[in-house]
Amino acid sequence: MEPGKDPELRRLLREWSVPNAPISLDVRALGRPKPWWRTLLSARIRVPLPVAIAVSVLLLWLAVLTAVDRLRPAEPVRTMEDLRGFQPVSSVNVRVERSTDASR
Amino acid sequence: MTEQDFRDAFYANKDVLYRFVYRMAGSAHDAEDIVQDCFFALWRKPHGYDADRGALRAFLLGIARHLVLKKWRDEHPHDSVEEDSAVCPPVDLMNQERAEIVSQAVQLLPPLQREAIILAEYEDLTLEEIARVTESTVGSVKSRLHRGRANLRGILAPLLEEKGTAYGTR
Repeated sequence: MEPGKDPELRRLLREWSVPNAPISLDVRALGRPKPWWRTLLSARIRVPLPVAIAVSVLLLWLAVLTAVDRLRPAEPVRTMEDLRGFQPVSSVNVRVERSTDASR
Repeated sequence: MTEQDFRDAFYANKDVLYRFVYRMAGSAHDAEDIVQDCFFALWRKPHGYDADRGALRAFLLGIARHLVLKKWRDEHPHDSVEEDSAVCPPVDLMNQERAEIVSQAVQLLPPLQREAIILAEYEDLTLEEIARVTESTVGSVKSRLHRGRANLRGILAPLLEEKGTAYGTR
């Protein structure tokens, strides 16, 4: 006879129900739950390979840009080399003030 | 097997294993011990499970069955699990709940009939799945189910008679 082909007996048998596994079994089989900070330290995320490659390439590109920027020599301070249009002061009035200190 | 794989396997199968062992052994304490040992075995030797040979549930039920039968043999050193032709005595119906009577009736079955009845009637496994779990043939499973049901109908006749359907009257 196939399983479940005696519905009358099956109905009677099903009057005996047993509980599912208790929570204490979880602790026994899996150990105590980790504290949140350990969970955080050991947490993992799954990232699709194309996304991982794209992010890696982007980070590498940023790193190369930064490195190149640092290795480039600093531009020298520009000094005025072209004196065209320079005009000297036409009259200079120099005023000399004497000291009033008699001891000198 | 990663820790996450193990956790997934545990949460997916712990209840079916626990109910099976509970009904086979008749004890919540034994059920908890044996189910823990099943998952311990899986953690220690994950390569023992071959996905090509069936579902993980059947593999774990097979381990649980081995442990239950080992315990039964330790407790009944002079009895044989092969008592396929055994006829069970009637249970005392006085002052007992129907569920308690059914529980006792199932416990009275010889182990090989009991496991077939539990897997078929309570866990809805197919004949092929039961054969895989019990490492036997579909023919043997059918035979055990037939004898197990006949035994149960005999033991539980008074309860079935209450509904006017005693074994052999239809």
